[in-house]
Amino acid sequence: MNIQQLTPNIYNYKKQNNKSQNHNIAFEGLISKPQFIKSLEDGIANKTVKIIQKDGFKKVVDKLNKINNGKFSENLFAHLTVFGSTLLNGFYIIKTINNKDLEEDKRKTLAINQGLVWGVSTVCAYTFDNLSGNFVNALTNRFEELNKGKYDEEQMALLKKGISCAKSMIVIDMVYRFLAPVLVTPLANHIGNKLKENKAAKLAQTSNQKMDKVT
Amino acid sequence: MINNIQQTPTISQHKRTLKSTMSSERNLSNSARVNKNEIKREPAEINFCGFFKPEKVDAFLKNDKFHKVLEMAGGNQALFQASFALVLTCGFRPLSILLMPSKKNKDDQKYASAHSIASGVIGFIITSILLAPFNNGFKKVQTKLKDMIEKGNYLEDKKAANTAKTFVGRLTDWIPAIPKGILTIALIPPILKYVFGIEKKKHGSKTPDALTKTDYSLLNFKSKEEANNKILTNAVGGTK
Repeated sequence: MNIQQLTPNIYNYKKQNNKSQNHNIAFEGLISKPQFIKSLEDGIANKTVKIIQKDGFKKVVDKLNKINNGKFSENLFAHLTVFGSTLLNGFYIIKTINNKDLEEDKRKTLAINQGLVWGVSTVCAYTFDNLSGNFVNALTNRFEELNKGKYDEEQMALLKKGISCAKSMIVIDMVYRFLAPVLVTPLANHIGNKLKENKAAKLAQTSNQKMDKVT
Repeated sequence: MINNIQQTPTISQHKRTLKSTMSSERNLSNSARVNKNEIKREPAEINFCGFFKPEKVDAFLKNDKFHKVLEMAGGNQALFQASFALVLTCGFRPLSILLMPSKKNKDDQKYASAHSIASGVIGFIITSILLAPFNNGFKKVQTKLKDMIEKGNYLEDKKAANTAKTFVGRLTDWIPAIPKGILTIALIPPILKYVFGIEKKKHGSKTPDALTKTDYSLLNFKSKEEANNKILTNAVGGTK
């Protein structure tokens, strides 16, 4: 009886051992990064540092800092975000112009429509970004005062940068990805259709006049 | 009489009393100054035009989860942008497109919603998975820049360093812009088919414009191609 109690239960021992091993494997797999990804990241970082050290990059930085007496670089993040959206919009416009599934007239109208929507969106994005500036500055000051002593200088700088970057990204994305397709595009479509209808009516009128002359 | 004269204050006495009152006032103001320093100043409250209670805003600004989001927005801007875009393109935008009253065909609305979802999903996958090494690499650049500044570089100038950092940080937004667009267009048909259950009309099928177009070859007693080049083709059908 006593011997039975003292002998280890092999089944339970195996179970426990396997459990702990499996747990470790799963945990390590989630946390560690494959070596090739680490070396890829280091490679990208080193290449980028080399590019930054080049004279050409320095010249670009100098030029950006001199535009509009340095005011341009104060809001550089917003400008570069707008540029990213412009790249994507430009690609869609080119795609529309080259779309063989659409009639030529429709292609032109759509491309002009997309261009106009981009223009209106860009103006809106800058306007909202500027309008929210004072509010976000007040919010940043409040954030800094409330969390004083919680973070060191470097961490606080990162969080403050986070507020200003988040502001620009939220405002610009909200305009390009929400307001433009939901509100501006239907409006532009409506105007485009009206213009098309007017054009068609004029064409019909001129053709009727020509028909009268013939008869 | 003499007693009365003695009781009235002389000019020198008057001066003395004045000095004493002035000095007591000075002491008071000094003590007030000390008290001012002792008072802990509360940060100014922000006006939300009555939309949010200031206490709730304060609690939000102190929230650790919010700080983590800010850390992501400051350190990994591309991922923050992709996450926010995902919320917009997969939630708000398709919902508002489908819920908005429109004279257009329902299929067009579904197509616009599918386009929105496709662009959001593709953007997020590309940024969070495919571009993750780039994002982490650019993060490492920020720490390497510090060493560069210490060694002596044009980045010693704070403004130049900030411009360079911002420029490099935004590269993750520009590099994938066009591949993202190509993938979005390619993914619209499967999303339309499997999410919304509609298939895109095949090329060559008659569009509504083609259906309403009148064939004038019968009127002109000529071949179809020749007749459609004539003046009569300019006339637009009444149903248009």
